[in-house]
Amino acid sequence: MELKELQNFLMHLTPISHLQYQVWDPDGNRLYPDSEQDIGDPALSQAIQSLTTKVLEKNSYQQDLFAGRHFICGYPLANGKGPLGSLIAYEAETGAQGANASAAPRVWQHTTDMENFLASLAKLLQESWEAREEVNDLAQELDQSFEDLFLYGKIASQIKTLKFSDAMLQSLISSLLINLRADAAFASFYDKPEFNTLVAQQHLNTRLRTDMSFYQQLIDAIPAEVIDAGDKYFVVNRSGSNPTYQPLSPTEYRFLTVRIEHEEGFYGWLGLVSFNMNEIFRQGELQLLVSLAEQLSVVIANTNLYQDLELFIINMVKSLVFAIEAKDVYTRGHSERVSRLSMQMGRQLGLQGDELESLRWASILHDIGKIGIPETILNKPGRLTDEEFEVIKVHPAKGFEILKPVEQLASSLPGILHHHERFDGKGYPNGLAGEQIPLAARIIAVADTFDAISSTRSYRSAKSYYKALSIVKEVAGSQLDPKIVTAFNQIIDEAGYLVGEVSYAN
Amino acid sequence: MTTKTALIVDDEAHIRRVLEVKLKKEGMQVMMASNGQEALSLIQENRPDVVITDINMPIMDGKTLCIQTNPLKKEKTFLTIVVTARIEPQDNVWVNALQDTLLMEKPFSPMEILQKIKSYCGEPTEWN
Repeated sequence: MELKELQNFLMHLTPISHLQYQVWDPDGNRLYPDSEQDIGDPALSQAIQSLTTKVLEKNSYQQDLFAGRHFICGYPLANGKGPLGSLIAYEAETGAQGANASAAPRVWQHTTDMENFLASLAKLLQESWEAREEVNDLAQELDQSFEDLFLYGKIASQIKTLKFSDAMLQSLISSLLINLRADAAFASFYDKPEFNTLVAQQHLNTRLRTDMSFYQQLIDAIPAEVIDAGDKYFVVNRSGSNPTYQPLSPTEYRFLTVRIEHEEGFYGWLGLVSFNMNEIFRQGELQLLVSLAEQLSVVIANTNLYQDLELFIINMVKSLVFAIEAKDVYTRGHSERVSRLSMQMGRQLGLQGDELESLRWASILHDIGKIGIPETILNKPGRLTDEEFEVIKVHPAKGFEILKPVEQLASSLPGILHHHERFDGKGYPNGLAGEQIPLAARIIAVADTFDAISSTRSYRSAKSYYKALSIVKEVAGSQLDPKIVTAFNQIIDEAGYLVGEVSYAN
Repeated sequence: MTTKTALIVDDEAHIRRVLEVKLKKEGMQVMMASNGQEALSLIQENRPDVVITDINMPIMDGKTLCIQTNPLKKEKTFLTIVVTARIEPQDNVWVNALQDTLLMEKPFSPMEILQKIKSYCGEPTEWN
């Protein structure tokens, strides 16, 4: 019941009762009827006021018989937190009976009834106020749960991405900072310090304007092994009473940090720092942090698995490359050189990310199909017969077939299949021309041609790099894409490739 | 004209409650409706400054409500915040076609909703 409703209630009660009612606040101000309203007899008002003071002082039912005629009684109003004032009932008019018997003090018949009535009314009010406060508190909690849920949802969707990245962490830590109203939020990793992330509020208040070194010292001071090994978190509620953490900052702070760990190990900490000492870390904040740390650990474990898988593929590819080179003695190092040149051209031509990665695999594996070509043909000194050349020509298609089952290499297959196409359409296997030929294949073709001419092949000895470059330029437009040859030429010019690269000659 | 009035339209009571408390705390007057039909008559009678509405509701959904109230904005505009559990690509299309209408995903942050209202209506101190 709001005070206003209480006023209505009393207003309706007055005409049917011979008593008048008042409500006072704890500071001695009359709330009902409002303080402007004159209630008549100033002496009576005085008596009521002193009774309210007594009610509040003793915090119990009080009564008085003013001038021997007017009965006054009061009862304290309170809620769970403290006094809210007092509820007063009194006789304004004593009626004809009172006037007649002016000499004799009146006897009030209903003292106990009155006390019971006021007590039940006060209790009812108290319960309704408490219920209202409780509803407000619950709504506040619900509000906070919404914020937590929102944050959790947002982060969960970011975490769906398999790979753990700087940008993902930055965004996660910033969300934590804003939504949990902390002064700083951080993630710190033992094995991956390059991913350490710290986001701090920029305080206008100079007292709280803390330099980043404080946070770093704080993070460094977190014990690697928490006191109780079973604990998933570490909390310091008041730095002022902690000898380790007090010296780090003249301003008192509190911090909460949870372990980022997985079956496979302990990765680091996810934490919050706050200078607001009027609040403490909520259970909800702890739970949210623990859940996020669990999610993060899964991402890290996945990233590690992903990296292991990537490494596995790299090693597998290396083995395949060794296999070709073991067969074709003249092409030792060829795959790696072609790959290196192709990557340089790719970057020069503006490729990035996945396109560049596809080019890497395509270029290093472009000759993998030679595994299926007889060694007698591959290693034959001198010119090949037409029949032998037809056998050689199947190697791009063979390479494509060999690698087709490897899902991770799907985007590299076109580069492998078409690296012997010619810009004028006279190449193999499909006779594609110009831009019909995949870009990766056109790039590999330039690198492959240059390396074939400049290194020793079974059928001719190595020509000098200058000579090789001039041949590459000559066939631009017929065999090779002139745009890519231009890019190639730029790389050679910029790197001083032909002069400096000693290892290239080997 | 001192206080700003918000109308919260959602068939889930707890969502109305959260927003009600959040906005009342900022001194806003709050009206509530549990479907588009109720909301429509409240908007016609009271012309709130902000309407926050769910999309999926019984009787009349939030999309219909927004489309029907959009012509009222010609006279005196107001902010409409549409919140939905799942933003479908076509939602962006109709929301963008309406005046002063924003789309947000559930679970939403009550704080973020309040910020959107403040950036539209100004800070509470400027409301007087």
